[in-house]
Amino acid sequence: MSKLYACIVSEGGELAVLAEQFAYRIEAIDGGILFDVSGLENRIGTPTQIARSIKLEMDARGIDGALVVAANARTAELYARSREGVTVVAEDEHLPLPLEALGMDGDTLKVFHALGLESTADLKAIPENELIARYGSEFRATLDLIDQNGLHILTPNLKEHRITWDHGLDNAVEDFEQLIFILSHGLGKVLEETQHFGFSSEQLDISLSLDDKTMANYSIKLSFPTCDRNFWLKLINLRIGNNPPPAAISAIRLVCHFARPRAIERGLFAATRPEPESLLLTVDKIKKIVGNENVGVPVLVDQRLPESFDLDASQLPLGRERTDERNIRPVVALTHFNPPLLATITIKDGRLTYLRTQHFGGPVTEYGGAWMQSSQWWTRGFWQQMEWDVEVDGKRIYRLARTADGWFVTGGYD
Amino acid sequence: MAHLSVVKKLSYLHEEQKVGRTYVEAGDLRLMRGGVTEFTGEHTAGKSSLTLNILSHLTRNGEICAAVDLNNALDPHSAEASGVALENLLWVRCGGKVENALTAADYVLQAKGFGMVWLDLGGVPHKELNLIPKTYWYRFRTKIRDSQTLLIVTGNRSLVSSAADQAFYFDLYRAVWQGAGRFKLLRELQINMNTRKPFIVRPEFRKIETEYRDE
Repeated sequence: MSKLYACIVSEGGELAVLAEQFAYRIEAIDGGILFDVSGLENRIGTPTQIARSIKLEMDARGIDGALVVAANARTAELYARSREGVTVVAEDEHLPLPLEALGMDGDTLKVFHALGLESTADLKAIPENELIARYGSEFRATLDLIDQNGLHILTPNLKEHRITWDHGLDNAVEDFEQLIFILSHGLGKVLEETQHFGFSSEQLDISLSLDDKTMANYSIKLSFPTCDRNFWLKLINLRIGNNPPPAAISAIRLVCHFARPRAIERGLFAATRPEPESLLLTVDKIKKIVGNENVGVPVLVDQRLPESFDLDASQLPLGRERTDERNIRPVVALTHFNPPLLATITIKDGRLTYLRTQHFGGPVTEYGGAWMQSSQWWTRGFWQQMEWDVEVDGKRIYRLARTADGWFVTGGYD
Repeated sequence: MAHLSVVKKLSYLHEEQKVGRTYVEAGDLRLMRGGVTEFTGEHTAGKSSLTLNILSHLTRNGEICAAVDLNNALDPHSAEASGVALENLLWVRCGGKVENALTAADYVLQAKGFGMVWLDLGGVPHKELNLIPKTYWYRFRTKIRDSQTLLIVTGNRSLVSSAADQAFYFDLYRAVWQGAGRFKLLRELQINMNTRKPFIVRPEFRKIETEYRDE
């Protein structure tokens, strides 16, 4: 089978990613990329069709540049640097190029121009023996270049940035946990190979081929790189356990993305904090019990609402030190009652005198309010909730709210 | 040779236990790391306010802390007003399920490295809390014994009992209001803090002020 190479010369764009769509052997060259597309004839068709496919992919990715498909790697590069647009150079074809493209020395070039030779087609018309006799045996390399015999062995120099491991099962397995041993083996292999390249990983993609001809895809991204197999295995088990595939599993694909290894450097007096692996596993384990939406970091919502805060389940505590000066002193804290307690109140002479709920009750000794809540004007209930701070029996202070549904004790001070 | 002995004297053991102990200091409150502290008291006794105050000291230092919230009672605005660095706080809402809260606390303590774990058991009927086996508290205490983690358990009544290294009981002395007529604001809570463990001392009087913000 004859060889076939493609070369793209472009000022920017994701050339390596594009080349990976078509080839395994890829060489990054100055200002472009050279890749081996031999064998694509069976999948795509003629060199012209291959060039068209590559061009379509270039357009899809917004890459503007010269593309050449040729049977010789050096020829592909030479034409890509000299011509614009898409060029397909057939094996026995000669497309003229300006002599400057051949990289000859200036004196020789001047002589050729003086003799009226401007392109490679003009040079090709002169007998080779005469040229070699005049310019020496080194000129053979230039003539080989014109004849598509240039010497350039494609040397893959693009660093791998991920490793894939595939495993097909003889029989489909319903329960993912049964695959843990197999997965552990694959995980060990990919992580070992990752470490062999001097990298670590902070992203693993798991694709499960299911018995019903569908796929279940999981992507686990961390905020730190690690090659700890046990940690990854527990995390995969927890994540897939939380969201199991809908059908039996017939094959597994594991893709391990490379990342720079973590540099562990902490100060002697640094504050105590859990290891990132341990924190992430703990959070995942707790999420499995109380639900994904109930574990995370509290965040404030900048709106005037009865509960103007939220829980960001996608975040983990950062462990960041605050350097701003602030006088730390105890401040009276509100606690919420979930669900709010339905309340019965007594009003005498326009004053709140008695409060009763199913759990407590008593005379109201002091109260302050009312404050308006729910500023969301686009809902029906905007500015409809009023709140009071109520001291009951001189012992306890609660937050009383009047909503469209009645009176409630929504929280208290503690 | 008379002074050499295989069995250590009890006084030596006490001394050894004291060595290497570190404390969290929040104002004049000194709580032992690697130990269980219990805050009990009725509603409006100031338990949550003081706990948030301790949390603010630790989280502002960059320590990661956790609040295991049995009844989803935590108010992040109050926490922020107390000075808590919310980005350093892991909040676990347990939806009123005691078993989930204890399991979550167990996982958090097992993770090691948390500066403080606050297990808030307020707002749940006593009959449910009575079902918690006492062994849980000893288990927690053993887990954090040689760590830097401070476990604070808050509730309406004492649950940890003898497993607690330090125990405090709070009660409201009075609430101070400001203003006249209908236009009143809660200004401060005046509370009594009674130390129950390691030894009972005279109650300490404390003031906790409110902080109002026009957001």
